[in-house]
Amino acid sequence: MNSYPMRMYVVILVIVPMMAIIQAAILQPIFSFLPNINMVLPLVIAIATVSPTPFGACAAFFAGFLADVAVGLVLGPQAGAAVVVWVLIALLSNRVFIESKLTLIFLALFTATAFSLARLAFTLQFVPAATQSFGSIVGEASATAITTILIAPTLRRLLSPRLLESERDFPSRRRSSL
Amino acid sequence: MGVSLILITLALVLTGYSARSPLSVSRATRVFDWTYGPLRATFSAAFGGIASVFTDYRELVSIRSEYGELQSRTRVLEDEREHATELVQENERLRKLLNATEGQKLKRIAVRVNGYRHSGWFHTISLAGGAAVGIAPNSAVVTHDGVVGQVISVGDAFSRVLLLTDHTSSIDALVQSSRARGVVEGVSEKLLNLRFASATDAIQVGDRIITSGFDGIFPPGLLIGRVSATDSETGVLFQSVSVLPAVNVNALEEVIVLVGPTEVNPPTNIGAGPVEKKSSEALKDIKSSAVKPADNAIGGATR
Repeated sequence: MNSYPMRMYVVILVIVPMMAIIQAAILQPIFSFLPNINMVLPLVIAIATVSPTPFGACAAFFAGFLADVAVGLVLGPQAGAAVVVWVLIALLSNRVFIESKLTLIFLALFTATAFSLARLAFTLQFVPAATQSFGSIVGEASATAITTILIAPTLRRLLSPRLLESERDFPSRRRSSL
Repeated sequence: MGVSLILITLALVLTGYSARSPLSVSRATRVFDWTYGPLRATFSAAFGGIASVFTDYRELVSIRSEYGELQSRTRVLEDEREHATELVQENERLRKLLNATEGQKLKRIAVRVNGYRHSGWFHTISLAGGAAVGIAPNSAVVTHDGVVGQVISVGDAFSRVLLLTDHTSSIDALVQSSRARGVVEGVSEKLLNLRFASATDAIQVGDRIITSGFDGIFPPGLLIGRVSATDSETGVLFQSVSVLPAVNVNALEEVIVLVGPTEVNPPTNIGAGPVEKKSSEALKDIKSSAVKPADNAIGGATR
């Protein structure tokens, strides 16, 4: 916990609502013709890979909860699914080479499917009528996986303390040239 | 891991609670809406055009598929309409056939024509029905317009009819107005000849030639045709009378075969226009006894 700078907690607490707002304010209402793209998952993956700590689990829960609030139907399914995915990533992150692009692709596909199924399981526990077709689950999982592959590396770099520290200790070429 | 379990449990509790009390969800959503409402309005204005392009494209694709579906449905409906028109015309023809043979005591069998053979002097047609439906040799064949010919050979499922236009055909006939007698023989597809009409008989162009019933094949009073020309020379016993057949032998689709012993007593209604009295039972009888070409085809048209 101590190795993780306080500044990163602030960054996470800012980014999490931002992603929820982007999902709720831009993707869902404007690009409604696309499958339901989930911005929470890339964030959860980024958090889980850089901070497999209780704080990371709480941040994942918070991100999922905001996404639930944005949807406005039932609070909890996405929060629970985000924590489930966070646990899976936290368990896997020490066993796989997370920097590999191929690993990222498989991880995105795996977690996107796990997220969709976990969210559906949470919902069906209390709302049996909320069944979803197989096609829509696959479409949603695919869209989320693609989004994750595109966004997760950037988010991970943003949240990585080493990267920030290296930027601080070794300024960029542009800065040095100036 | 302990924190994760607590959070998952919390998520379950939260899901259960919010599923039971939607009011709590609406309160939380209201707060969030207050936050992202202005943002959504801003982004909607910015991305609305892009989104509408995609939406329009998607609608265009769906309209295209709908158009294809409608086209195929139109084709089906057009086929059905043509079929219905065909059925209406067939029904009309059968009604006329029924009216034409109303009053006959002979057994009436409606049969489809399924083949023509017009080669030189020989003018015959084949019918899609034979002994199986009760057709017998030497039966008269008629339509609502008049005499068609006589059955010359009968198989189990087909019959061959010698048309009145065949040069070997001869029908005992009367001139309806003057009652002058003669024998109608075939000359060509569109011409008959009334032979053995006395030179002293008054026969005018346009007179109706009907069957006399004396040949034992055709019932009396069936229209054969109308006089088109006469030629009477002095010192000759018989005059030459040309007759136009009442029936167009090249456009036959259904005919009625009159089976049974003929009677000499008139009247009959063939060629005399529709009769007011209609027998629905007889119509059913004709329709049910009509043989479809698919069931009794004998090789198709040979014309």
